[in-house]
Amino acid sequence: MVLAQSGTDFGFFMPETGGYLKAGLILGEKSLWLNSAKSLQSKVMNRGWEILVSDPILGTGELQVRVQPLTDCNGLVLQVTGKNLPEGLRFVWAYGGGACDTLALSKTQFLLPEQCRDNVFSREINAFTMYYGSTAKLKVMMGVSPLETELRLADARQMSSPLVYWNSGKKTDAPALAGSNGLASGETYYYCIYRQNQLADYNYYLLPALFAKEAALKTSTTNEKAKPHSDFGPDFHQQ
Amino acid sequence: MKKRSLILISALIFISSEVFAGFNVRDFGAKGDGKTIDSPAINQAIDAAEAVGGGTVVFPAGKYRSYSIHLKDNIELHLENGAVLEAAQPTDKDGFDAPETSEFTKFQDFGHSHFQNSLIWGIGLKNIRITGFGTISGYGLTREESRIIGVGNKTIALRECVNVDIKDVTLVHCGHFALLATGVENMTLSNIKVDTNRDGFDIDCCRNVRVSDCSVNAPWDDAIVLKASYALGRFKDTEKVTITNCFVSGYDQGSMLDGTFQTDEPQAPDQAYNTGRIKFGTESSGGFKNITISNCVFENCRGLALETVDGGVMEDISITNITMRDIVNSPIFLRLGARQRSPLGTPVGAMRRIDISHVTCYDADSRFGCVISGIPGSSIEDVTMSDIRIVYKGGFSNETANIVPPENLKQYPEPSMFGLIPSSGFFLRHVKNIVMRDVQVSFLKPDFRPTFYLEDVQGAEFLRVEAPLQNGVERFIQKNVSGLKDLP
Repeated sequence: MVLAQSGTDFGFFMPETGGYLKAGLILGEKSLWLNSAKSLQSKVMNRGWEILVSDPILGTGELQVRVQPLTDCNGLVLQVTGKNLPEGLRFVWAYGGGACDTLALSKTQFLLPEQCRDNVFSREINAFTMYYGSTAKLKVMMGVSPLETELRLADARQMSSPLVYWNSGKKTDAPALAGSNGLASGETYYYCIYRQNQLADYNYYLLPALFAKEAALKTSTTNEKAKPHSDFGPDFHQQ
Repeated sequence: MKKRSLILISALIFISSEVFAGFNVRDFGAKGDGKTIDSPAINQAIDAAEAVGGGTVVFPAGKYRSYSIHLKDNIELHLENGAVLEAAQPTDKDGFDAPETSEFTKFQDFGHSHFQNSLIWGIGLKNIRITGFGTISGYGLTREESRIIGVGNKTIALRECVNVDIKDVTLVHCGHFALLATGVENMTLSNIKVDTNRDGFDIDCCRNVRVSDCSVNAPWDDAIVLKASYALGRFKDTEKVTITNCFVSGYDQGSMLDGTFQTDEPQAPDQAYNTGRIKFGTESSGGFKNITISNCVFENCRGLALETVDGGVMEDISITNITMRDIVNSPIFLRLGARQRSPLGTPVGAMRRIDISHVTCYDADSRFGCVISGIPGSSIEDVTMSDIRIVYKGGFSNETANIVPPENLKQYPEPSMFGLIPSSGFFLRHVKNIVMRDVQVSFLKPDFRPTFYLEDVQGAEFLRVEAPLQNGVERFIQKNVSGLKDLP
């Protein structure tokens, strides 16, 4: 998998697209996509990245986002933690954009409406699945976020700010997914987006250990044993 | 007179207490507070009822979070109005029962092959009822393919049970299945509302089943579906089934139950638009016999689909008084195929004696028309279609009239499997003895394809079949057709 990164925006390519993830913050009536933060300090951390975010929306606080690609499947796991965070701060993210054949990197927007057509999002408390592709070649990406996450459908045509996106609603031809959870100082939160197989099948309680395992690996490896579940029949995900 | 009234009141109180006393789950420690995991208390109540030969386990109003509930013989779960039995989310320490082992998982999907990884399950039981105006929610179940132990994927799962009665309850967000009944004898489903994120009722290898007065909104999979899988480890037909007075649809999830019937989410996970239909198949190792569907409404969903593709014999099917609106693929799709997801050597099945009458359909997708298609050497036989009126969207040019759709013998059966078809009304291939009587087809936009595509058809009688034709367009495309009668 190629994991494209632009600050705190990520694109999945394996080799077809696996969607895009874009992160932001909401505090009351203010909101900010992290890529627009006043300061983003990024550094390579073994196989992943560590990004330190500071911005007036955080007051004197600082947010740390650590990212690791996954070994057993295509995907990534994020660890988010912060210090001196303001009360009521919420982490918000956008995910979607599976409807294209090649990874499209736009300097102005990482999750383009034209990449969202016919994407379908199943939501199960704090877990989600994106269905995309075609009937003959259906593709599936899965995700897990903190237990207290609220998931909702949103409009990729309305991404001028996280707040606008969060409240954009589902009446759109460019459906994408929005997720949001509160952030408290000193707490650690995990987010995972992945393509499921026999070795990669996650609930939230598995993510801390998953992140620790991936962060401890110093070299890039791919587990060749990772295959779809053996009893996924030929009509897996058909009706 | 006063004395007589007192006696009457006393009698009513006595009758009332006899009817409703039961085994109250709160007496066994259930909190119903929406926080506590109440399944241990619920299962204790069931055990207590079983110990005295059976009884009614009562859920008063409240929200009961629960993992697997183990049904027993002669048990009725009764959810009073205001009671919500909710599947809890698994944790690292607790969850639903593990799926039992099965030797036959390769012949059907994971969801079909196991029963214990469910909110409510019973295997080999008799005399089971689930009743009351309460709600059963699959909130903590998954519709997906996770194999993590503790994850549940069905709201109600019954295997090889006898005498099952489910009535009045509401089922929401139910995971893979709201109800999976496999190998059940004598089952009645009545006055049930389902609004879910995958299948509604899956009635698999069952015999003598009544489904009536149910509303099932299942935009992301089939609403009411009859199957004949190999999950029991043997071939078994689904037979003696009646489905009547039901509504099936593919509106946005939850919007049937809240009465808003929203259409903002037209796409389904398989990228073929919302499902929500009545279907036979896809699992069809066994057959389908003596089944009626009557007085049903399809809305904003796929059309009626009768499929046998794994070796099963489908015969003696009667379908009548159906109304459809905003249908996203073929209004009527009959497919005899050769997927053969059955033990090696299973021969191709058969489809015969299918009667479909009194169907009215408005605003049907025009890509595929109505499809009746067997495979070379195995024709669909003895089909009667009468008193049918279909209004298609139309809008296709005559350039598509030269398309020869692929056979796709082994492909998963869906109207889209043939791609765009060369006719505007009906696509008939590998069919023997079909009668169409009093059939009207029309189009919201002009369609420049012939009305019929007939290939390898032996015996076709059309009586009063009306369809508007654009100038210069032939009524029929015929290839290897014999015994065609087209009568005014």
